[in-house]
Amino acid sequence: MEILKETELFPIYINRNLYTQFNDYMSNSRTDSWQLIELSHEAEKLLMAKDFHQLECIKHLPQVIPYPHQTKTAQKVISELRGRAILADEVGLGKTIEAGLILKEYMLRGLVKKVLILVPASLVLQWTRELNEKFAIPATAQRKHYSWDADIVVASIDTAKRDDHMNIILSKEYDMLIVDEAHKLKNRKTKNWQNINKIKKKYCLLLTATPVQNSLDELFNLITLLKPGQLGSYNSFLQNFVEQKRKPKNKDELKKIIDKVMIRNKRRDGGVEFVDRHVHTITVELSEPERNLYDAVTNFIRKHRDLNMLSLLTLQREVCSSSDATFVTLVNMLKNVATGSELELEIRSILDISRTVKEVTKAQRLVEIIKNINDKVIVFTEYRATQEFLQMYLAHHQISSVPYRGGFKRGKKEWMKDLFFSRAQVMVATEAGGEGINLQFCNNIVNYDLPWNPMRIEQRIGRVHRLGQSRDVHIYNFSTVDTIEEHILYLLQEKINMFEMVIGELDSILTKLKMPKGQKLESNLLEIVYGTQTKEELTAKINELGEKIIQAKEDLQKESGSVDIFH
Amino acid sequence: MTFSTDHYVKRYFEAVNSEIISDKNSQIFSVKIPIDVDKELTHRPYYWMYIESLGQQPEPTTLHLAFDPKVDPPDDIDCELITLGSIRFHNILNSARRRGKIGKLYQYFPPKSQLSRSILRPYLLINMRVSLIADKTQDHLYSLGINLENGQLYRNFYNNVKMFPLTEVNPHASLLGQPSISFDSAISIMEEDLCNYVTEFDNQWAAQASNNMIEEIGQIESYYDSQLLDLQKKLTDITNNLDDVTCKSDDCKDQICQSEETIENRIDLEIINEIDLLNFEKRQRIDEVKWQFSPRVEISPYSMVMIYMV
Repeated sequence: MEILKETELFPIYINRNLYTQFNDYMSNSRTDSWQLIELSHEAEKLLMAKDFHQLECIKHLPQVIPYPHQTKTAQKVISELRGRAILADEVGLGKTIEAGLILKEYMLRGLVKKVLILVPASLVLQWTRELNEKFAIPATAQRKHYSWDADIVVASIDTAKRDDHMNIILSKEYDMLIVDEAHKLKNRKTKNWQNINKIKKKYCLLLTATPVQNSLDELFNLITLLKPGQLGSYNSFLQNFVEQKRKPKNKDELKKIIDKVMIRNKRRDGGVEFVDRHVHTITVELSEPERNLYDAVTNFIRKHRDLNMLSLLTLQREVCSSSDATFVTLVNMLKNVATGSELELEIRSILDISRTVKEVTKAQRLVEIIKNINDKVIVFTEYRATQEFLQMYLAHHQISSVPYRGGFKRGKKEWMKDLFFSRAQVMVATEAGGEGINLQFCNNIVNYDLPWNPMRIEQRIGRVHRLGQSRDVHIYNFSTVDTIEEHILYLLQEKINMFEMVIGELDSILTKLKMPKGQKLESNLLEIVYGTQTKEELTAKINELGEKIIQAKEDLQKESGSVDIFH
Repeated sequence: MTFSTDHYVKRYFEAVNSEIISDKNSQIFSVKIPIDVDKELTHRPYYWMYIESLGQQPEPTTLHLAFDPKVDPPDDIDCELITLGSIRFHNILNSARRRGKIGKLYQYFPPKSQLSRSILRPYLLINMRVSLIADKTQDHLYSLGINLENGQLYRNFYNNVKMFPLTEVNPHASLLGQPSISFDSAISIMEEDLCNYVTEFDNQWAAQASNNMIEEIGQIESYYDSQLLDLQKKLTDITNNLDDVTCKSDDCKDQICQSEETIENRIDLEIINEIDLLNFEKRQRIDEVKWQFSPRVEISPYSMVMIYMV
């Protein structure tokens, strides 16, 4: 661009490259057809930004139809908040979509070319995929040193924190910086905060569902990253707006100032309805052969705690799932055991017992439930052997079903989903995680067996209980009397009411308990199960664990309540 | 009037000399695309390098496109859905923009008609995008035409020109008027009018942006200045203390004297360092605000056509 003229209010630039090209073409007698010139003009017309404020990007999105609250948020950030904002929607309302809309809009208008997106490590690929697929934004996931040069980079916050990477980042100028889980930036004394503060940026979005976790200070620190001085200096902020750590004063004025830099949508407003969850417990009594098998396996495990813990855990859970699954694992164990040893004899005797199980009580009840529901049902199980067993069993009872496994390629997943939609009544799934396949036409879930990690249960439910589900969701859980599963279900359902929680709440609670993604919870449960001798002890310990979780839940409610003091 | 992706895409492929395979009424639009178009639309640089290095003749690709999401795709062919948001469609738009830049055209008359013997005057048409930019943007499409014989300017010239049938076939040279204005002068005249055009806009947007910028800079300044002031005060206090503590005698070897001085010095330096950092930060924040808000106008011509008309 060359300068054409300086007026009082602004400079006028012009790009003269086309003149040179014109002369080139003319001297070479080369021209483009009128058709193409017209098509080119129409393309310009289609891509131009006709209005300063009106969003252009919506019609250019390949897959997404955003919700009204998402469009409104994007509109407000661009028109009023000048592109520097905290997106603080409650969990589940789609902050990622809002960020994508804003980014897309700025890119379409030519205001943003170079972008850095910092997210938790576990979300890097998901963000990259969503930006590419839903917004046609060519984002790349940062992997090697040179990938920082790409125009649109998605990177893990922790990787970026390292000195060698941060040096590269600080040497660049970003049109836009987006940070997910920005509540990690609540303390200005941390390296993370200081790094983000130093990055050169024009527009900036901070995403977090909990902008205030412990004290109002945190909000001040977040806002200082975007618009230093918005709340005055730190001292005047304390003086004017802070009564106590979590209690603000001059709420009205504070709210007005915060409204200029933060948007928080709540589920209740804006007509975004999340449907209800209804939980049904199906009690199952094991038949005698099944009980024999269960006891045999449980005793075996207690006796041989020195063996591979993982296989034992799997075995214990499998016997709650199906004898088929148990059978397969036992047979595999035999392969690694010395012939003629006592261990081999024990395993063989359990295998004998498993062969005596002719009728599977749980499966019988499942068929009853499915027939009663008389609508589409997704049945979840952890085990492939159980999955295959169930498909056969259901077919035997004239119930059509399709399988769904994590290992399926994307095309096959889609195909199964289509079959489920158009032909089969039941989908028997082993895999719940991952995005992409829309199953919201179904509103019934059966947990044939329960993972011990509640996050995985939450993931299962999340396949159908999300924005877009129009009917109440029904969840059926089996409680097999006098088994470990019964205790776990008690913990999750009766004690901490996990099935009644709102989407994302469980995640926050587990994070607060420093059991992110629920993994430590699983091992906690394992310790309890094998560390206790009597049923009473087991029950007591599980209650204790339940209390801890409830406490964390209450603490969290207090914290997120304090943000809402000014809303 | 809603934009028809269907219509646009079909015209594009015709304009780039593709071979249309499907018939008019088919739901699926099948087209064999020429090699150069293929290279542009499908991003496969290594494939082309490979084919060409082997000296092989590349097979022209056939595309099968559908425009209505409600229509079921056929089972046997690999079919793509094209909508306003598709990446493929945007590739086509960008290809059209690259290929439709510069032309030389003549007003068309049916061969034996009376008018076919009229003298055609040379005009230069420029289409451009005028963007008003601050933290928000607005685009305007604008066209200017200039008569190269007498220097007469016409605004919105493209709209006029569109109404006439045009051809790339040049008539006999005797029928063509000669430009008496040089290319450079023509450009100067047009650019001057451009400036007028831009300044005729309502400048609210620029005034608002400037105000916003001043407001934001003010906020940044008061935030940092209050901190800088505090630090300055601390520095002055310490420096004063330093004077009090410094020994009157130059070769005082009293350990206490010396160590106190070094302690004060260190805090001294720390504060100076902090002041420097804050100033740096303050400058950076202000630069960012200027980068974001400074109003400016950018003009990008996107096509230029020489047109001979009556």
